[in-house]
Amino acid sequence: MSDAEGARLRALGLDEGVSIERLHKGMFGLNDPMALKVGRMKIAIRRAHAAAVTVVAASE
Amino acid sequence: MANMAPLIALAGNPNAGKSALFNALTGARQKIANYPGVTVERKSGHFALPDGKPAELIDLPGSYSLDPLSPDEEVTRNVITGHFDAERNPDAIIIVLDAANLDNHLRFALEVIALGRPVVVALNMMDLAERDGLTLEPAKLQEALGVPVVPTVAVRRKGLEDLKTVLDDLLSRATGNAEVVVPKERGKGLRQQAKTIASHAVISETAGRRWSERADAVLLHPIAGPVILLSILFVMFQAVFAWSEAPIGWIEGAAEWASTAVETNMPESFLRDFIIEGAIAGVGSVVVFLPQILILFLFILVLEASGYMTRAAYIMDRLMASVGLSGRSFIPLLSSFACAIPGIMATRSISDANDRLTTILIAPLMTCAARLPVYAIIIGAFIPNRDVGGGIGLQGVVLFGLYIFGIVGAMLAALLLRSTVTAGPNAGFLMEMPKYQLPQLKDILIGLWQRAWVFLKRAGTIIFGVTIVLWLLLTYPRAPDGESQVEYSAAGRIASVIEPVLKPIGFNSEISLALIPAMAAREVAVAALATTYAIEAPDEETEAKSLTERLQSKWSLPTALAFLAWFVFAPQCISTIAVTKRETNGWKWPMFMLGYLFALAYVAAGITYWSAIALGL
Repeated sequence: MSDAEGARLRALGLDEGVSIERLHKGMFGLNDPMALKVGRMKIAIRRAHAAAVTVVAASE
Repeated sequence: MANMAPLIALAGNPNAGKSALFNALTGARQKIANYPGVTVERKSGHFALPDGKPAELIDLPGSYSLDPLSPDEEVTRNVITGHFDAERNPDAIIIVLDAANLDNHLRFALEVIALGRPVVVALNMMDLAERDGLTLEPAKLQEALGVPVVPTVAVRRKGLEDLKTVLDDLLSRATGNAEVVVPKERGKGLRQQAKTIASHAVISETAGRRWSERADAVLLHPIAGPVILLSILFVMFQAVFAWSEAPIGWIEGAAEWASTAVETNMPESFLRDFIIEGAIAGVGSVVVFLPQILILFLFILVLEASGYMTRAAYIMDRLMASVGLSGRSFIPLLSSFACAIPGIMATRSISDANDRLTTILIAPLMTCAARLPVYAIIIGAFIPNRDVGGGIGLQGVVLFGLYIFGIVGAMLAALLLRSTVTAGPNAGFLMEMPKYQLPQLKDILIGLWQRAWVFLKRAGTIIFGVTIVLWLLLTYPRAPDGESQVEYSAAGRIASVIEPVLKPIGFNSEISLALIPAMAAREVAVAALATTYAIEAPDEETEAKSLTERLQSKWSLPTALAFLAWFVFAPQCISTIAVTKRETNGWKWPMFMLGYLFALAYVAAGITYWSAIALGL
């Protein structure tokens, strides 16, 4: 992923320390693109970009 | 500068409700123009401050940060910092925040506040935040940010007076507006700071009514989602044709009334011919599409304002990805079914340059409203009106086929373009999906009015001008007795030059002639054919025949089919070329578009003609 794409992801709120939840699968069962809940907002993202995000399981 | 109205800039993240606040403050008297040299829209309006003094308001493009990632965001940054040549340095800035999305939107707000300019924060969409289960304390936010915070609900005009009072106060204390520089080192801490401030401003957070989620469970369902989208599109296209019939009749009636009035009240003269045949017929033939365009835009605006359009883009993304585009291209292409011009203008929302250029280049392949009159007359004359089973008529099937032909052509063209002239890394698809909202009548009406105005201005200037020129070319020089006026005219002579080129694909001289005025707008081809055959008629009996009958007697079926195939691809619209030039900032791409579409049209018409001959049609 390029720096500009990374900046775009961060601008949309995908940044360190934010909580992520997957909301919707992609169309026709293909998981590309997918919908994520980032903080309090919902974003659409392609699989290639989502794969570049590091996630850890929420500690509850 | 002292006597100029103070300039106030609206800034904020996309989907913060900026445009709604802009509409609520300024009403319908808005001015939309382009910033010179860039394809970024400048939207401005006026409103009165509490003491009655006027203030100018500009709506800056939505931005996520002061580090621009698109031309839009660059304009926003430069205006806010006072470094934009084409704009005065704003005297005050309103930052619009979505109250339900504070931790995200505060990041941009903190960046702007740090510049130290006169700023007021509009904590917008308070109602939606409450519906979402959030209780906020604006006073706490004001304390943390150090600038005034006014809670607003733009769509219900709540908080507007408070906002104006604060603005008045800011302006009276303003001490001149120096240019400011965006500090280099920021970013890292901003997100954390935003989160902390947001969490302090939120008093309580409950699950709330999450009906936006429940709606998406259905509307974004892997199977039901596409089915619902297709149904919406189906209803939309039905409405475009069914609802427009009556108003089109009124416009045609009005044009007829106007030309009759001129005919009876004016002595026969050059001026009279000019008004009737040039002005009224020319502009009338274009204004007739206004109802269809407005109905299509009514749907698009409602879908956009409700928040569904981003879902449609999401659903279509996979399909668009297969030809190298993204879901973002879906909305401009959908608009192009009414007219490619607003479609091409809508490509501004596509941030990737290659994606945007590809979308512009294929937009004219979507079957626009102007092709319909051409399709209708040829199909009516040559395709038998019989049932192909299940109550479905053959004529309808052919019309539908022409739409599909255009879409498939566009997809193939996109695939080719993306691997050649607009090749580049795949930009991906990244988009915020806002919560669903009830569209506000006022916002929709303002949007429709702006579209109608742009269209009518175009009809009144470019199309009017071109129609006049073509009418003159067809009328002069005057043919001597016994010779055909059409063939003798300047246009006829031009047609005789291009005729040999078009003969191999089955086009006769009348078609060659009709294609010249059709460069102004496709639908003019019908009128041009009618004129040609009317002028050529040897006696009154032949002249009385309808255009349909004349076409049937003069054209073979292969010629008619080739003519249809030609119109699926041919770039027969000067306005589209003009808008492409404006949006791509030069002649290179409109010329490329012209070349590749003519080549496609020629090949498609040729294949159709020779296949039809071979099949013995």
